[in-house]
Amino acid sequence: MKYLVVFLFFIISSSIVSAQCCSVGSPIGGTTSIGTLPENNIRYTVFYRNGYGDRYYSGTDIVNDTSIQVKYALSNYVGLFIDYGLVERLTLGFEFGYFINKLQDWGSKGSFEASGLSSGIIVGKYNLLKDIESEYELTVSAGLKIPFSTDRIQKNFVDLPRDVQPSPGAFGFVTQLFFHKGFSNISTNLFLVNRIEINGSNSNDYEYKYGNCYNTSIFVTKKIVDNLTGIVQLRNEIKDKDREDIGEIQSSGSNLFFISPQLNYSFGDFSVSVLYDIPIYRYYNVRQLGGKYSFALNFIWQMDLSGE
Amino acid sequence: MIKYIFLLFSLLIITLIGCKKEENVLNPKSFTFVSLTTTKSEINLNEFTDITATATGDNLTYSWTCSEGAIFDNGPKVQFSICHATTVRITCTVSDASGYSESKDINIKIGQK
Repeated sequence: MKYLVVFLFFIISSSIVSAQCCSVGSPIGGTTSIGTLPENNIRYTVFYRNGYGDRYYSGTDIVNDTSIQVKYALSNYVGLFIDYGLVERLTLGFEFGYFINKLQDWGSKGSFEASGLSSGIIVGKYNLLKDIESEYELTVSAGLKIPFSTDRIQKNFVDLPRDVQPSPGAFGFVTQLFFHKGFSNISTNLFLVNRIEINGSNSNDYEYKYGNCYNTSIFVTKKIVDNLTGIVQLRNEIKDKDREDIGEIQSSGSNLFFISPQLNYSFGDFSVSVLYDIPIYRYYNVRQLGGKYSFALNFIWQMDLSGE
Repeated sequence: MIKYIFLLFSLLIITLIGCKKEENVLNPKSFTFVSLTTTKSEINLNEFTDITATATGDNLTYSWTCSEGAIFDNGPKVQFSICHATTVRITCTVSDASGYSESKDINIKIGQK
């Protein structure tokens, strides 16, 4: 196996521009096949994710309060990742995100909706250890997160709520650790991915700073039939509280666990994945809107440019 | 030659000073952002409060921002609500056609109820 043909769908759904009071989690970071690429290989990944939430949580409990004005929130997001194997151990990655829409419905008062570019990430991935015989790999990466806008979107000179803003409005820093251990005798692979996002503040927006995110995933992959792989992911997402210039936002920050089954089908240079998030534990500070469901589609095209 | 340069320089100074004076005469600062008020400085969760900006001037535009929550409507009078307890700062910037603008903030405390 020259490189892993199983592409992991690692999406950070509580990342920046994410669930605080009244929005469902939104993918910002995330990547597939998080390890490095062979030299002169390029990989394009396009993914789509839909999220919806209509239920509030306080701590681990569901809030039954009919006076809540925000009835539901949803988002549709597309991401483009481009990875290029610069040299044998070093891969450069570029990630871009675009919200087709982010919507917050206030019932009879109407709804707020916005769309636009989210943020970009430039990342370098370096392979520290790789042993084909023993089937393990350790790759670390670090990158810079760049917002496409630092100004909030307005309608008729009025700010749209923060929860529907597509851009986090601030720079940030991303680190990631990727570990893989293969068990080819039973057609199984085990992966561990840890990703940390440190978010900066936005001086154009009350010095608002989205909470840092700490995401850890364990993946187990198993070949079902030729070209078709089943993947089960256990994911933990911890998000710190947001801050603004007058203090912390108490109604932000969370600790979530998901199980995400995923199917991956590969044909030639292409691969298609579908994933569904099933929340198994949630803890939200104070009171926040939690996601009801979330699913994602992923298309990958990888090419060898070396001509070999 | 020096005489002509001095004359030219003097004319330039007079023109610049004159322009400034003329600007002041033609654009008297009738623009005033008088007040930013709310009907309730403390509200409960999911309650609405009206916020009014009072200003004088020609062709005024009202731009509204808030640290959290949602602003409904537009113009000099808007409504505000939010679904969690906190203290929210709302900023209104009023501008007129001549480019004068001024901002005022107001804080609204949201209780736990």
